Amino acid sequence: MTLDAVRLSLRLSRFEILTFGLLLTAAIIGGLAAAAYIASVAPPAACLDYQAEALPPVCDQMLPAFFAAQSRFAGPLASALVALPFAMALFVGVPLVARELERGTSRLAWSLAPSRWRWYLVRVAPALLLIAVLGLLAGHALDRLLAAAEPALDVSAAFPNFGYRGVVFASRAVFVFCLAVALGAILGRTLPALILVGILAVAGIGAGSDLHRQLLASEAVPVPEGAWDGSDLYIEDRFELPDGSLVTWDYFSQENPYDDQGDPIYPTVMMAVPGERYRFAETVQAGALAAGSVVALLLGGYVVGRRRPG
Amino acid sequence: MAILETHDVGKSYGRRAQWALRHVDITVPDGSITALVGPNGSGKSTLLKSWVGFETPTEGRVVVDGIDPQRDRGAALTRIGYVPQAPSLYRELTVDEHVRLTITLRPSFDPAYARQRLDDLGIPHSARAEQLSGGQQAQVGLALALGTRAPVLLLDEPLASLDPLARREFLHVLVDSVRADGTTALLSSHVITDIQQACDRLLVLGGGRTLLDLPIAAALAEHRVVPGGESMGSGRLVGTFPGADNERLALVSGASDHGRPATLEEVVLGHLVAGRLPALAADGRAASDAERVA
Repeated sequence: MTLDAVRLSLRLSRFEILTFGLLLTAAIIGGLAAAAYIASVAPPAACLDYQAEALPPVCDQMLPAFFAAQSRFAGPLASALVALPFAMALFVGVPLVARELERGTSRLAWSLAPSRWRWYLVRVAPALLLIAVLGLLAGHALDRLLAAAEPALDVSAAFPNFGYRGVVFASRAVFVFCLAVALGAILGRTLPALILVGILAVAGIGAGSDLHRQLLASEAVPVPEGAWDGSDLYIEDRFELPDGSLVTWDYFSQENPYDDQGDPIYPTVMMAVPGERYRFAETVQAGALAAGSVVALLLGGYVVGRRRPG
Repeated sequence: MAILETHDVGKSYGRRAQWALRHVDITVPDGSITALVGPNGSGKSTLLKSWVGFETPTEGRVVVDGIDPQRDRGAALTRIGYVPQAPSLYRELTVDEHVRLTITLRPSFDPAYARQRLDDLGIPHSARAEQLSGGQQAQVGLALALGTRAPVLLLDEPLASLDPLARREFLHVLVDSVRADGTTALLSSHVITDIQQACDRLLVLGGGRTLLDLPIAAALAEHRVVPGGESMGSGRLVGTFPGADNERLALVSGASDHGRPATLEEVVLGHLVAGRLPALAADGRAASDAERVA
């Protein structure tokens, strides 16, 4: 693949790549700058100990500025950083093949290219690389924003915002892109493919996350009282029976586990996946999304190889 | 030697099995410029697309320079330069970017040759495709196809949307290049006058079948036109059609000295009319002269 082939391939999606690429780059730079600014105005850790009965006097001055910086910068930038990679994946991915079929340019390209697989690779690879790199940078910026907002949290070993930061987030953007390319090739129409990919991406990522959460639930352990630090992945509360066994609501078919005052008749225990499992969970979900992306790309390539040009 | 062949090719679309082509056997000789003529829906585009590998025949097979595109599309495509029916250029790319894009797509592409063709026509390399006229876009498509230096050129009604001057320029470039390179060209078109000046062979398709496959000189020599009611002599009636003054004319083939020599348009018209009757025959038998006259 020559540099000229890459350049021309990107040129064919210039409007979408420039529009979303520039917006996303601005959001990434803004996110990293905002994270640095929020970290610079962060108060001492003692000010963020929400269980402390009294805060040091310095907190009265620092906390308002800290929270104001978060609401002013972190919120809007985090929203943009989450939305733009998916939008870019959708709007760059779908037209990649679909627009060639709609406009009939596939007749020219496929009559010239002895290998449609090679044509497909040259069309897809540069945009895929761009989405992956920008997705990783956006995921990193979201990591930094969370770290700045929660100075006590080690974001590499904590579950808050799981799936909406770091490598998993980038993998989701890449998956949406690959799905968009494949469905664009199958449908051969940009607008219907955009709508369908939007629906399938939301449903697919939601269902995949639920499934992953159920799998992770098997790793949940009881969190000792007072040990919850916000880095674990909360799964559920369970009741501790007199024999020491932990049961869920489903255990009580006849008996009401709450007394007249609404208090549980057995002690309850919080079940959570420890934050240390974050990297493992991240790797599993990113791997599953990467596998799904490869399948989608292969499906798109198969369709390109078999179908009539528009 | 035939460079393009079909062997009993049939192509049907949809569940109701509408046959676009049926039992088509064609051989296009190496080095010829063949006109592919037929009404809309006669299967011209389907036939060309089968050679390019864009369509898969339902039955039979097509061959390009000894290669079956259904078995090895990549190898077959290296033998073909294709100009699609509608200009299929990327409207956001410049002419020069099309040339560079083709370099990346077709390893054997000769950019200098293509650029020379474009320079000869005064087409600016920096102009975007959407800024070009229909004739210029067709010329860019032809220059790219010629630049492939492929031994076969397939042109799918490239003249359809061009004005007379653009058509003439297009054909001039085509004929010059094909003659100079010894390429074989198959040109699908409705415009008979253009065909006559550019092509040396005529292939008429109608109702999905081959109705005529002859050198143009032979087609003209073998046919005569006889006004309605006059004797056909020893000639065989091909078909009847209305003349310019609405007089009924009969196209006659064979050794007849009655009537006058047929024009190429009359040859095509007569065979297209003749092609309708057998297509309607349920048992597939050929229509008799009496049926044709009727």
